[in-house]
Amino acid sequence: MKQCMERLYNGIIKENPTFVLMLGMCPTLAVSTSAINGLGMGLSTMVVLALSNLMISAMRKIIPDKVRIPAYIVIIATFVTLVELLLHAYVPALHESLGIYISLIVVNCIILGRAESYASKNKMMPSLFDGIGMGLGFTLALTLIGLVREFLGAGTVFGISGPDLYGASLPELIVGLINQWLDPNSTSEAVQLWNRILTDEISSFSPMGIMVMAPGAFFILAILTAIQNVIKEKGKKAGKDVSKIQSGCNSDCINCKDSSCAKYPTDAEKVISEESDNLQVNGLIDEGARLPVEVVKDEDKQLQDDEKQEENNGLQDDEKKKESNSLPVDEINEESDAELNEETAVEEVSDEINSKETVIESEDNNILEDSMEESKPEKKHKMTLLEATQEIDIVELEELLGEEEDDTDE
Amino acid sequence: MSDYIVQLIVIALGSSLVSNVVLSQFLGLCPFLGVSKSVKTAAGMGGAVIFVITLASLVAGLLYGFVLEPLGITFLKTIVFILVIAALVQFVELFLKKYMKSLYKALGVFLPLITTNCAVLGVAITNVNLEYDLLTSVVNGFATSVGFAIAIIILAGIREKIAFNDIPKPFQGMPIVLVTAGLMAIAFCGFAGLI
Amino acid sequence: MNYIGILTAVAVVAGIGLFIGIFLGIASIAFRVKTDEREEQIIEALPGNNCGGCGYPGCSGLAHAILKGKAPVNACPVGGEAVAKEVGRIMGIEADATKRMVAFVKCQGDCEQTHMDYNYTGLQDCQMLNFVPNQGPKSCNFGCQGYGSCERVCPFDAIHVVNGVAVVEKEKCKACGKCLAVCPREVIEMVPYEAEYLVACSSKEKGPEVKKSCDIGCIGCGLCKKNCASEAVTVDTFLAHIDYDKCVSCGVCAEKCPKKCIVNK
Repeated sequence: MKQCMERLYNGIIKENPTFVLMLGMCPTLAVSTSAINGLGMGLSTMVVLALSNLMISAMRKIIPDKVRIPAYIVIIATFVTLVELLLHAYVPALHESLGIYISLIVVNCIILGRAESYASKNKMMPSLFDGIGMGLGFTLALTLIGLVREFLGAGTVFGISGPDLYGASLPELIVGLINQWLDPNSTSEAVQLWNRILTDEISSFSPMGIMVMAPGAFFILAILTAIQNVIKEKGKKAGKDVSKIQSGCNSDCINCKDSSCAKYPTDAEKVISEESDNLQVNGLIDEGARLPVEVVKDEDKQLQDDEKQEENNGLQDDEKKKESNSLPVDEINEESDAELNEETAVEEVSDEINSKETVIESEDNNILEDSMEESKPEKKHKMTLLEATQEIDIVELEELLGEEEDDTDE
Repeated sequence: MSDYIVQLIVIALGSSLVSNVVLSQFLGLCPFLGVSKSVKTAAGMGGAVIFVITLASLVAGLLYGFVLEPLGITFLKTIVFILVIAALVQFVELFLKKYMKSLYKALGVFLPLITTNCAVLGVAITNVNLEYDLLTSVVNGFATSVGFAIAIIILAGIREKIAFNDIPKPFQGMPIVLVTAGLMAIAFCGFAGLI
Repeated sequence: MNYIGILTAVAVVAGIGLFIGIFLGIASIAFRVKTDEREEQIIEALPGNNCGGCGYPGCSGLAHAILKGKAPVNACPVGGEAVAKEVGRIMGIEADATKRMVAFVKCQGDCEQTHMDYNYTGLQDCQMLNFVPNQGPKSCNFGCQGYGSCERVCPFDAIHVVNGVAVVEKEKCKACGKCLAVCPREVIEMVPYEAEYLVACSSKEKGPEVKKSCDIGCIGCGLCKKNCASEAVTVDTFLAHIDYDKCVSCGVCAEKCPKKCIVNK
């Protein structure tokens, strides 16, 4: 019994399929155009999930391993057909609004995923409650998303509409409400507006139509995932175990190593190798190819720690040696510095001599004058770069036009 | 006759652009978001999808017309369609591996991804719901998959371009892709007056 | 109770299921593709992370090439000797001894010691810097720019940008070569794992120019070459190189270097 309760809690909160695992996005986006649709879809999925979990768990010892995916699919499809016929008979309005998405519960990742990962390995009662828990979590998520989209997109909540504001500001409204109470027949605009609202003449406010259409669903899901990412980051920094978040399926089938998933690409190695080469060199894979997990045993960890300690000790020894050798090294440095200064001084002097020679020789020669001017703009070119830090356009122009620009600037 | 062809063209345009299978009907989101990291893989996926959906709508249409309808057991369509599609994809994969190695290398890997994809089953069931005859079903299937291919290739192109951008930390990864898909969906809404 | 309806439904689904089962069974036998069983064993023996360091498309690509005889059995740099021995055993060929190599970033120009021409806020990618004035904000055009293209590309998390310059963690590096391929300045080099003294500069500019750009760049003074007893150090276009076939790791070059650009790893 406790296990069953734990399964329920798991499915609704800890591993909520939409908010935590990010499974089953297709129906989530398609069906959550209003809260009622979300609720209906969620409950249908819950029924299918619970029953199929039960049946698969009951038959888990009979189904051979090679044909397990087709077998699961047949079982799930049977229950989906059942649910669809029931809905068609007893709630035709819901059946109309959900359309083909009821039939598409068959290929919902959640159901196949839970069957694969839980029902095929556990007993009947926990599997049933796991299905109910996951289904309730899914329903909760769908209803919430449906509520938000319906409120923003159509101005109604579960079909009930609210008052219209028609451009009046909040203070005006509050004052108007007071005035309306004091004097219902006043001619001020706010009072008239309130009269119309209170007599139900005006019904809904101008909604954001895009929210009930396809793009709105994408935006809401993006914000949801962003919030998840923030929680994940904060959880990681605080040291909590956030491995469950977005762990269900990151939709990256090509690089996925989960061979138990129905979508696992056969010969996936070949695709991973070829594609990941291209993608990695272009820096397009965020985390690189997934590596096989190395199991570092405790002994190995201790060895690694020991090695690190030895390294630290070794470093300390080296530092001591350096200190004791410092005097001769300093002398060597001074010597080398002196030599270096000599060498650079020699180079500079030789450069000066060369430039002076060119100056003397160029008094009569125009070509040599041009070469002097060419060597000067190079140095000034760097100065302009340093000065013009923000004006990148000008710098680019200078680069493009080269020395001509510098000559004209000079 | 010409009326029929015009109707086919209208249906084709409608399925591929106006009610685009992934940006309007939300079918096939998993591979859409997952396989669109580079244009090359997206093109491979698009090709595989076109191949599978056209073939699947043909076979499903045949089965529905010649087996399910005459026997009056149309309520079995979900089970029968999904079984047949899974088997078909398996068979096609074996066939390609043996006889068309180059084609298998190009798109063979994506075939299992399409088996349990909403899009294939969705197209088959839509064909049944709208009571299309066999040729119309096949054309509808082909046009739907072409729409999918267009959408996924465009998304892959955009994703390659924004790969180096300075995206705010919470939006890195999946959220920015979803926002991009949302903007694409808005753009595709512009096709609404086309037919 | 419509018994005939129920029976028809059961019969049809069962019939289709049976037909599919038989059909696929026959197809899987008829369309079997012959594979050499050794290929499976080789793929098992290889590390399996498809880094591409061997130059072939992933581990299965290398297995294929080894089977055909195009690749030597010790072609996998990540697996090293152990994998080479195992693959050699499967193929029946002796494996040659492989020298473990690691990547090394020939630059020490971090934020404190190198000069910047301007502040840069733009695309954080080293290859994109080629389009930016003077090819990047750092004064030295030969050094590591520090925007992390190598870090993003490394499949083993062995290279990181620390304080504006890339640093390789020797233990994690598997010498797959991806960072070398992506670095636009070609600042990363493969050096033997055992090498202790490394020249940490790639600047080919003259001494005075280098001094303006960076505090610890190699100025090509040649003191290391003069003091090397094994003639392992050469100076070429104002940059020192160490030949690791001759180097005995005595450390004299590092002591003599005035700019401290030969480091001890």
